[in-house]
Amino acid sequence: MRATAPRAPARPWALLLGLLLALAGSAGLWAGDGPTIPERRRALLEAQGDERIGFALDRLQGRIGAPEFADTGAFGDWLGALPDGRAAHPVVRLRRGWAYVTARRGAEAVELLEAALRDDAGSGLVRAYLGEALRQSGRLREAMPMLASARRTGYAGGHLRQSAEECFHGLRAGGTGKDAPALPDYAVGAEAWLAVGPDAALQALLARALLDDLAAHDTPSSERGRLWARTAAPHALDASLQPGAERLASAQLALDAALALDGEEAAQPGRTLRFDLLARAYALGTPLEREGHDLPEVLPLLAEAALAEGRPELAARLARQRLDLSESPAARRVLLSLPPDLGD
Amino acid sequence: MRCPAPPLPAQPAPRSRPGAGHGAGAGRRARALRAGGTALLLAACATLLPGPRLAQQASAAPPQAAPPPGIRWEGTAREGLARARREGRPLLVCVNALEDERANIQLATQLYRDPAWGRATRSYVCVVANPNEHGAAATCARYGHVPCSAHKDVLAWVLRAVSRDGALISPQHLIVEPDGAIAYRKEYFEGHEGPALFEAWLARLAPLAALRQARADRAADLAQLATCAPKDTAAFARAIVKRASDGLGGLVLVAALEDTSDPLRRAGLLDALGDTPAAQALALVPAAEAATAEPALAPGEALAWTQVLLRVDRELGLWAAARVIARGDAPLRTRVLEAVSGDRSPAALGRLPPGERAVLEEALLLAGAALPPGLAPGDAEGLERVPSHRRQRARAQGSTPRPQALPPALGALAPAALRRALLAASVESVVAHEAEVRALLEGSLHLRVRVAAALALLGARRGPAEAVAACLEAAFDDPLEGPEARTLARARLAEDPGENPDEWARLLRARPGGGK
Repeated sequence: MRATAPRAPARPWALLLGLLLALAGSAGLWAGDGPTIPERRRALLEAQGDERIGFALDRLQGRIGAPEFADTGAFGDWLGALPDGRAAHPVVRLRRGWAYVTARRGAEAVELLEAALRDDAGSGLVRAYLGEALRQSGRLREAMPMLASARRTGYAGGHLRQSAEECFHGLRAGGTGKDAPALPDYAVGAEAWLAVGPDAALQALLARALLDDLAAHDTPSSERGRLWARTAAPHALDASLQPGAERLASAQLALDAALALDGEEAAQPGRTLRFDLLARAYALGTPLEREGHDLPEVLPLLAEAALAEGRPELAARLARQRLDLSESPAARRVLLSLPPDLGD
Repeated sequence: MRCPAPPLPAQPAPRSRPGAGHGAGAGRRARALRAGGTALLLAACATLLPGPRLAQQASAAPPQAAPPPGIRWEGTAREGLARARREGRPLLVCVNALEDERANIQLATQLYRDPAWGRATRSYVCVVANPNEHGAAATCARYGHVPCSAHKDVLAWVLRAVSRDGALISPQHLIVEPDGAIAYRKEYFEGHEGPALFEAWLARLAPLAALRQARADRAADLAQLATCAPKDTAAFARAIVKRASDGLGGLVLVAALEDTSDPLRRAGLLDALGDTPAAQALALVPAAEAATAEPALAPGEALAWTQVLLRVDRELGLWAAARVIARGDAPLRTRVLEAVSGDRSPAALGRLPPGERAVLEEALLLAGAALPPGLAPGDAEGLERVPSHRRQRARAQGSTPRPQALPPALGALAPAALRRALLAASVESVVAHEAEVRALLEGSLHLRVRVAAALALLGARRGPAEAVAACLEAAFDDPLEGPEARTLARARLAEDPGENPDEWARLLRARPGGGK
């Protein structure tokens, strides 16, 4: 399948291509410029070997947007009508699959891409297209594992990441988890993707979605709530550690994740993840250019966590810092819990 | 009167349960009034029974040009919470969502507009929750001060914050701490909420703001305390703190104490402060904290404040006593121990509850003082009162801290324990476990563990100098770990690099043998 790699199915590129081709066509650049469609068709039918077939397809594909192929979907339909078994050739089949995915007609691409996958099970590209085709056809629960399997092969096309994110949003739109017995579908799908490797942006989305749904539909003290909180927390921490993320949004995410862990960890020694989340929220909420703190409520929480970790000096410093900003009963409670030689 | 989820703006207005117009809430009120005393009955009758004026207001609900007196409402929940947090004020949330129910009407048209309610809530951020539109003007005709969009937004927030099932009792009142925790929540209106309650909660949650309010609202009391004969101070002061309707009485005395240096007057005020109602005890903490911070400066005041708190709230009294014991000299310690035990006999300490003995034992250990008879080291009964990590610290402070050996399986320790072990590790132990400590420096997910590993290696002059220095330099920039890491690193270096980063870089990398 060398030389047959079709373009990514991302719609912006397809639209741009179509626009350019349309402009070129309207300017009359096609007239008398290279072989005609029938000539190219003949070349495709006569081509031998994957590479030559791929080349012939590339030449035909260049006419998408011209009157013969209004869009990639029409191109796919045209390929499907090729005679003499050519339409079923693996290279043509894959190109048809790509064409339908690009035209957002994923349901028509699924069978073609499944056949292509049987021919080449190790192809990340085919898996990525099949995942996107499944997503477009509404089979979101199957789509994310397929996209994850594409990622696992090492395939790293930009459209793959975009497909995964759209799949996540689709799964979430399909159900917030209110009635899910355990993790919502979107979280199961995202976990499949993240099992292959970290992805800070998707981790942030997953953590935020779980925390929002937890706040809306459950409590941190229920078994399901604990599961959601435990799932969200490490992703929130990873996401908040990424440089470039929006500072206050990341700080709030870390704080919310720590608060969601309350029911799980508050009474346990070694509250490691909660402490780390609060410490992260504290660090991110510290403005660089001025005094004060953008998330003052994190200070007494972290002071309490520091006290539980056996760091009363740190707890004292944080509680005082909070009270320097404004009145805080929570910070005063920390001061009342300090060893009696500390806290001034 | 439990209403099915007072709905959001596009939906119909919330309704009482059928027949609840004078039903559940009113019935509960009636029972409460019968159970209460005469004063409560009269006060409640004055507020609960709608007279002709109230009925008139309720039926007309006239639009108003000027904001009504009473509680000053603020904007949306988000704005209210932000201001509460920024300025350290409690947030008062008044749910007033049922406009055809008697208590809701009375609150909206009478009590929320009462000047006394307005004065008592001046230091709060106040928001009201209601789902309806009240006129087309920019300012709500029912509540004033804010547009209707604000009280709708507040209702949506209350539903999210406190109502999992979407149901909400109206009326109800919540007091939220500046950091977001709900400190007080009371469904229905049974006459409990009012100026005294608002003041008492203000004193508890924001003592400094309450002190300012006491100064502003109780100027006459302060003037009387300042001008009365010094010998009469205690009697006047006691009358103030015993006023049932005054939620700021204790703080009036604190303000008077700030204003006088007359020893007789001060003694009278401190004596009367001991009669402050327990509900106001937390308001006394900042003043007691200042008096006990350095007991050597004014031992008599430190002892007097300890005695005040012991009378008002035993728990807080023990807190103050522990501070004075840990920070004061031997004679003062003896007097504080007597104040706590109520007896000069050493055996009296042994009769204290185990938790109280544990507090005193911890403080004495921190002071490096010998335990008197009655207090036994290793008393395990008080662990709930003084957590073990605090007592361990007290013992460590009480004796010369000795470096310890690292435990055998470092990887099995939780980060907090790992950090403690690394910071306390002896040089020999770090050398013996160098590979493990280096692995922690390079691989731990927890910054505080990496920093502790770097400090252990720095103290032992082992490990990769560059990695140790890089870890510590990164920690110095971390707002949480930075201050502590600097102090601990300074203790492990032979010289003090001061605040010069280049000097820090040089010293952290200077290592006998190069530390490759």
